[in-house]
Amino acid sequence: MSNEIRIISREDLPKWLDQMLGTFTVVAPTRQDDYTNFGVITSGNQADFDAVNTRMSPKQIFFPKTERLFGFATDRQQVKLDDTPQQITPQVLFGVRPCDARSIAMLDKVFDTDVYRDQQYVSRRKATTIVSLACKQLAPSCFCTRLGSNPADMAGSDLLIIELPEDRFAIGTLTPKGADLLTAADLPAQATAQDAQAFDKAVRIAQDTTVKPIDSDKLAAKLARIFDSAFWDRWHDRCLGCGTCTYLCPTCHCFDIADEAKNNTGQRVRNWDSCMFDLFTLHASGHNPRPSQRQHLRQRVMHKFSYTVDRYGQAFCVGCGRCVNRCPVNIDIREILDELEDYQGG
Amino acid sequence: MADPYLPYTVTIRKITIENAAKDIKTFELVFADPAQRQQFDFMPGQFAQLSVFGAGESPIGIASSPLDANHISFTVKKYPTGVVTTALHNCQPHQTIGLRGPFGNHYPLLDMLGKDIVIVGGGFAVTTLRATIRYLLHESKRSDFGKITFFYGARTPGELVYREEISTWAARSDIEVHLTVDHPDESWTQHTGVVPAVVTKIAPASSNSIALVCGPPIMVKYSIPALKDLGFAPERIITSLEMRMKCGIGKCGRCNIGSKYVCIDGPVFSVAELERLPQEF
Ligand SMILES: Cc1cc2nc3c(=O)[nH]c(=O)nc-3n(C[C@H](O)[C@H](O)[C@H](O)COP(=O)(O)OP(=O)(O)OC[C@H]3O[C@@H](n4cnc5c(N)ncnc54)[C@H](O)[C@@H]3O)c2cc1C
Ligand code: SF4
Ligand code: SF4
Ligand code: FES
Repeated sequence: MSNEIRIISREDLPKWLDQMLGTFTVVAPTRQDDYTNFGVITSGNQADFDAVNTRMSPKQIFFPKTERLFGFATDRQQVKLDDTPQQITPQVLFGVRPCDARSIAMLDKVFDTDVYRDQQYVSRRKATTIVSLACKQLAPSCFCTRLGSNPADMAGSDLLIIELPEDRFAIGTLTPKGADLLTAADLPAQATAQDAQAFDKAVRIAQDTTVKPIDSDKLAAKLARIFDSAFWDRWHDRCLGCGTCTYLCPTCHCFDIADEAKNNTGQRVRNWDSCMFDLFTLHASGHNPRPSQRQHLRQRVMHKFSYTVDRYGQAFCVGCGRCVNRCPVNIDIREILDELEDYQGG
Repeated sequence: MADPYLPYTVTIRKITIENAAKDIKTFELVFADPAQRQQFDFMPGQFAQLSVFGAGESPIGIASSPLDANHISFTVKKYPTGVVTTALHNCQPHQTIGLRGPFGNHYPLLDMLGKDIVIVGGGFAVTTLRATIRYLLHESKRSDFGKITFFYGARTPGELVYREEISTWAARSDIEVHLTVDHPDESWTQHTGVVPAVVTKIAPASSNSIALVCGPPIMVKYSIPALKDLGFAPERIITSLEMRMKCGIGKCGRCNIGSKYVCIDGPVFSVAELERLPQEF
C-alpha cells in the first residue's frame, strides 16, 4: 500500500508536469481530433486528464510498433554489425489508466526474464516512471473488475493519482521510483491525515465491487478441456482477420523479425505481428498448423485466458475494452467470456 | 548480459551438396573468434538461428556434434519460396553469415545413459539425429550407452543425406544401420518401404530402450504407433517438433503449441508430453 500521500489541485497538475519537463521526457494522453492517444508533451497543458482512455494502449512506449534490433553492412564476404544501443532518456509516463499499468506488469513477465532478457524493453522500462490516474468514470466497454482488477488498481504503477472532491487529487507513492519523482517535485500541499484517509477510502470503494471476477485458473483449465469442442464453431465466422484487436490490446506482444536492406546496408527490425493473420504460423513447406480463422480466434482467446495462466500465472487481459470498441464486426470478448463460463459441452 | 537478438558472425568453411535434387546443403561454419565456439555450448537436439543479412533468419537444427571441436554444421533444405533458405543456398565458402543460439532443449542424453537407443529418421530432418549419433559414437561416450539401432529412410536413394558418413557407421559393429527408400533404383540393396514398416519388421527390443524419432510429419505419425506396438512407452519415445519461429527465445509468441513454446520448451518432446498438448502442430 501507499506509504506517502501528497495532495495536488487540478490547477497544479499541469504545473507539476511542467516541472518534470526539465528532467524527463513526459508522455501523456493528448487530444487528437475526437480521440486521445499517448504523445510526448512539451507543456503540462497538453495533457488530457479526463479522457476515459487512450485509443492505443501504452505498450508502444516500451515495445514500439517497429524497432531496430541492430544494423548491418555487408562488404563482399564480410559483415559489420552495429549494435550501438539506442539512446534511452529518462521519461515519465503520465496519466496511464490502472488497467493499462497492470498490462505493463504483465509484459514485464514476457520481456524482463532472467534468461534472454529483452534489453531494449527493459532499458525503457527502467528509464520510465509510471504515474497512473485512477478512473472516476468507466466506459460501457470497460470490464477490469471481471478480471479481478479495479479502477484504482496499483499493479504496474509507481505513483497512483486518485481524484478527490473539490478538484483535488491525492498522489499515492507505490515504489521507490515513484517516491523519487515526488521528492523532486515542488508540490504545495502535504496531505493531512484526512486526505490520506480519503485516498484509502477511494481505493477501497474502487475495490468494493459487486462484479464476480472470473476464476482464471478454472477458466484456463476449462479452455484446455474444450479445445476441440463445438464452442469454437460460432465466433470466427464474421472475423475479418484484420488484427485490430491484437494491435490495440495492451498485453498482446507477438512480433515478427525482418531484415530491411538496401545496397548492402540495412537493419534487422521487429514489428508487431498478430496471431489473427494467416501467415503467422505458415511454414516454408506450405504446412500451416493454424490455417483458419476459427483457429486464429481460438488461439487469441486461449493465449489470453489459458496459456498465459499456465506460463505466467495470470490471464493476459486487463478488461480495457479496446478490442470490444474497435472490432469492425463487433466480436466481443466479454460475450465469449460469459459463454465460456456457462459452457457445458466437452 | 548479451543481447539475445544479436548474432555471432561466422564464416562458411565448406558447403556440401547432400542430395540428388541439390536442394539440401550442409554448411560447415567456423567462428571468427574461437572463444565464441566455447561460448556456443550446446547438446545434440538443439537448434540455432542462421542469418543471411538482408534476407533474414531461420531456425535450423545443429547437425554436428558438440564434440566436433572446431566447427559447427547445419544441413538446410531450400524451399522454392523460402527467402532465407534460398539466400543460404546462394552463399559461397568464405562468406560471413550470422548465427544465434544455441536454443531450445536437447535429446535426453542423461536418461539415455546405459540404455539401448533406437533412432528413427526420415529425409533431411535427420540433422539433429546425426548430431546425436556422432555424439554417441564418440570414443569418449560410446561405452556409456547400450545397443544403437538406426533406421533411416527417404523417398529415393538420392534423397538420403549424409550417405558417406552413414556407410562408415554401417561398417562399424557398434551400431546397426537400416536404410530404406520408397522408390529403389537398380543398385539399391537395402530395405524398401516406409520407415515405420521397417521398424516393425526389425522389431528392436523395447526393454531398457529409448527411441528418438525425427522426420517428416507423416513418418513421425506412423512411427509412434509402430514403436508403441513394440512396447515403447510414450515417455520413452522422443521426437523433435517444428513450428514457424522468429525470436527463438520465447518472446515473439509465434511457435506455441498450447502453453509450450517450441523454441524454449522444445523442440524435443516426449510423446507422453505431446499427448497432453492441443493437437495443433
Ligand atoms: C527447431 C527447428 C529446427 C529446424 N531444423 C531444420 C534443419 O535442420 N534443416 C532445414 O532445412 N530446416 C530446418 N527447419 C525448418 C526451417 O526453419 C525452415 O524451413 C526455414 O525457416 C524456412 O525459411 P525461409 O526463409 O526459406 O522460408 P520463408 O517461407 O520465406 O519463411 C520466412 C521465415 O519464416 C520462418 N519460418 C518459415 N518456415 C518455418 C519453419 N518450418 N520452421 C521455422 N520457421 C519457419 C523463418 O523465420 C523464415 O525465415 C527447422 C525448424 C525448426 C523450428
Ligand atoms: S483482450 Fe481486449 S479487453 Fe482484454 S486487454 Fe486486450 S484489448 Fe483490452
Ligand atoms: S478486430 Fe475483430 S474482425 Fe479484426 S481480427 Fe480481431 S476479432 Fe477479427
Ligand atoms: S520463436 Fe518466438 S516465441 Fe518461439
